[in-house]
Amino acid sequence: MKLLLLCTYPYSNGRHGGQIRVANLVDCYRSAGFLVEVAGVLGSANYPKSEGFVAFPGLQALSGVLENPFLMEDAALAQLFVDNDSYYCQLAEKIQSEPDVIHVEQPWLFGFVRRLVVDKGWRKTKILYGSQNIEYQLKAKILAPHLPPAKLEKHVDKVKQLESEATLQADAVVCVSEHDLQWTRQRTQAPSIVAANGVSPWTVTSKGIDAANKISGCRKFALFCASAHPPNMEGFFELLSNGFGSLSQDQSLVIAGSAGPAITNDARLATSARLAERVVSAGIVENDCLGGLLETTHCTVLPVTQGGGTNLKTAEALWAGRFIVSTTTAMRGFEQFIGSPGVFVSDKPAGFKQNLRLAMAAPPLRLSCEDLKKREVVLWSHTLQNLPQFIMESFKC
Amino acid sequence: MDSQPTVWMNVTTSSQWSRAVVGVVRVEKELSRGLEKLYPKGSYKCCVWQTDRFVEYIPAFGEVLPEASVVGDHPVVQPAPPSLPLLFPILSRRDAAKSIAQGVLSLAPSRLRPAINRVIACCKNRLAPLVYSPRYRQFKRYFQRSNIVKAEVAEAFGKTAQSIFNPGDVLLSVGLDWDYPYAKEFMRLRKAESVKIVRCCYDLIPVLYPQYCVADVAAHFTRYFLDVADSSDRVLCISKQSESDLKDLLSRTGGSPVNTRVFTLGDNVIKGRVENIGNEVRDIVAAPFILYVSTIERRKNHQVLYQAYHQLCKEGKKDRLPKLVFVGMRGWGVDELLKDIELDPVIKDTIVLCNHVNDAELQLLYQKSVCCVFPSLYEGWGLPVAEALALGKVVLSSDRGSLKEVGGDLVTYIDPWHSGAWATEIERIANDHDYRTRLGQRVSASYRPRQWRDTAVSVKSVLDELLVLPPEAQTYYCGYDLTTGVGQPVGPLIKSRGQHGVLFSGPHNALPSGRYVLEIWDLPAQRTPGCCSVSVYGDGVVIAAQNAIDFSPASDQQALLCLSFELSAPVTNFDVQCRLIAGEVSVERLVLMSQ
Repeated sequence: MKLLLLCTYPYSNGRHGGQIRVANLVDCYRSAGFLVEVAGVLGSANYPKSEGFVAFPGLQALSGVLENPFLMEDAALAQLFVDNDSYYCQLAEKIQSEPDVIHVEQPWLFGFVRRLVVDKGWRKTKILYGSQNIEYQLKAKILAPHLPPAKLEKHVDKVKQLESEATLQADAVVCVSEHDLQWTRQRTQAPSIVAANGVSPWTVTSKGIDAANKISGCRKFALFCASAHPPNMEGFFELLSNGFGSLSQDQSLVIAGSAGPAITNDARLATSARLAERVVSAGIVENDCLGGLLETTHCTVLPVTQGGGTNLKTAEALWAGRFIVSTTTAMRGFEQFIGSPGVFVSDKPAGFKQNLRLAMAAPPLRLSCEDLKKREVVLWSHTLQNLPQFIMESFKC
Repeated sequence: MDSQPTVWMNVTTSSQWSRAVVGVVRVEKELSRGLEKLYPKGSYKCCVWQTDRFVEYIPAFGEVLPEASVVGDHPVVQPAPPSLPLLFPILSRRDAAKSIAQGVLSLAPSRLRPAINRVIACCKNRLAPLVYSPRYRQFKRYFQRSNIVKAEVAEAFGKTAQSIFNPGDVLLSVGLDWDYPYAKEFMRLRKAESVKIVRCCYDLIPVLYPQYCVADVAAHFTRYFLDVADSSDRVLCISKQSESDLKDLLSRTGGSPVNTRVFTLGDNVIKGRVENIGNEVRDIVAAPFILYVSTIERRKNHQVLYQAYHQLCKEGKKDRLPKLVFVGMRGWGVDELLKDIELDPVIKDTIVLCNHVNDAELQLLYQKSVCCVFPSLYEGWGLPVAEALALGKVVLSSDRGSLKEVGGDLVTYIDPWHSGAWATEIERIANDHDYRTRLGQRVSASYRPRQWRDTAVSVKSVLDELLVLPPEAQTYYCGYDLTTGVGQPVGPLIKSRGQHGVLFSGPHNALPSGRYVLEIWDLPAQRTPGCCSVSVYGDGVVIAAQNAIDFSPASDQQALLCLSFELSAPVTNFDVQCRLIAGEVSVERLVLMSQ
């Protein structure tokens, strides 16, 4: 089977959740014997050049289809690659042959695919929509602090329209959580399945431990791994503002990823008593070092308050086997682990901070072999295992 | 070294205080005096913070702690030689910067203050992100490291003084601790020197009602209370309200749960000499008056009394009203109110301000008043209410904060925001002689004054509890609390990595005398067959040792070593050293239990 996967970011050496998911989808399809081609558009100027991908068109081009596309670059891309023949052709030229299935990850390039299959006369090609979220709801939360209500509504409606078209017009839909699956099934009769986000087992190296120790100063610490994606920032400040007493003087909160500099440069950090003093920003770290941090941390925090879908970082934290201080939003897709050893869940700032203190005061978590076995379901090899079969059956290939 | 633990009281605040002894300073002095009487000689000592450590405080020859609070009536309390008295308390850099900013603001002409205040606030907002920038923190770490190096060099030349504390001692601190830089020292003393710390919570007004404070101090005091919780074995609270407020704050912020005890302050009004009564007070007491004893500031809500008096005067009842006397220093944020009182023709001559009264004058004012009022918007206790009741006076009080704890059912409580209700009750008290007499008789018959001696006794019971408390088992996680020569810290573990030598050493803290059992726990599944030796040192001398400890992989939990030893005297440097001779092992923790 020939499968074309379209997305708006490169998937090799990926750092953020979307990139990692796409990389694992590609591996999964290839392992099932599919011939996989990946193409798309780079959704940010920060992504490196990648084969099969059209370069980021730039804000000027995006502004031509959507006035002030701040935080709406993805929706602007969607329109640009349908309406603008030049951009449409650039991407269409990247696609080398007629596929049996086009997997469109997120709704942004769905309009492009619709036009492509019509233009090329690919009548047998099936379209699979890969939903990572209920995008319009997430977008509303991201935009709310920045836009007046009227403009917010307009932008959110645009995303809602893109998402609805993808859901309704796709031949099949892949969701990342049961919650999203239910939402999808209320809107389409097309076959749908959950293929949750997962994690790949990592190896811990002595070099990685040394790098992690350099960051933590060999002190007991809690770890927050996140990108500077706005929902990550909002969740952090929503749950840890107004005074932070969860960590004592000899403990710290290490932030790995681009969220670190973004948080330390945010004025809200200094207004929460004792928060700035406890935070250590590691910034973006090498995989070795990340493995070291996950190995040496006492606890992983998942202060996620926005977004649907499943959180890759939750899977990572579960597999790391350390304490987890989380919200119900962060546990979406992993609900079976709520109440399991070492997992603390609270959605309120007070409860979240108290849970962090409890976790930090507890002796190191030692999971039983049975508990470790249960956590294998968070591995990509498990979360995506039914997807190839689902495609074969849905499209009678 | 003393084998019996000592109770120490930090008297830094009162030792540096030269003004009228009120509030926190009075609590510190009264408690110090009371505890000194209650403890046998030698088992209770005072200390003060000097530069970077606590030193023993011995009053200068002939010096006694003052009984009265009149300015100038008592000698200035100074630490004993060789310690030099400090003109000002040593502040942290952060607090010093704040003090400079406050000084600039206070010394500026009043018309320029709002603008200067805005400039300072603006500077603060711009500086804060810089202060928390990675570059500044890197610089700060380097700078702090430089200090450590200097301290180490000084120590090498024998310049550092030995700590005055012994393991197991109890340190009580009830002063203006938020103004001093010793918060971190409490934590260090508790962890490294096994000193038990007792601190005090007066109120959480700066956190709960920052609008009533001079600046936005909520974050500063939130930090302070988080530190109090982290560094204390017990926290004394002056009311159930303060206790509840503290626990709420800690619960809201995820702070360390604290072991609290409520203790009540004494309310016996200090007697002064009759000859000290001045003409101003003699004139006031010559006619009926209602008394409000409090600093004049927004939280104390003098405004509602002014509004009540304005209303009554406007209703034509001025002639039947006693005067209203405000006794207390002028605070902040009341300029407009005081201007209104000065200029308002409707209430002219009915409200009198009286400052700098001595104890004799205060007592006379209490005694001669028609009644006392206390409309404060929030209190952590409310000493003037208690003092008025102790002298048998009728009291009209706000119903907020802790005030109902003070007055019980002997006080008439009124909503502090409702000026009409205050006007009604003041008019009734002023004019209904029978009603007032009835209330007064009830107070006299029922109110039992709280003595400072009882305060000291209740605090002593808390201190004694800690003195006899058996030491808890101490757990030291190797990766966090110990150092390694040939191993690698991996979270709580120290893992060997193929080399042989000192696998771990530490924790280098103080330990009281006694019998102990030391357990060393590792992860048996991660062992490879091998051998190690363990030595226990106290101040550099071997106390116990075990050589050739053989180990091999195991699936069940078992201690690598269990060792008993006895300390005949406390040590300041307790050190366990493990040398790996062969094999691989991942050690997790040392557990030290007292027997």
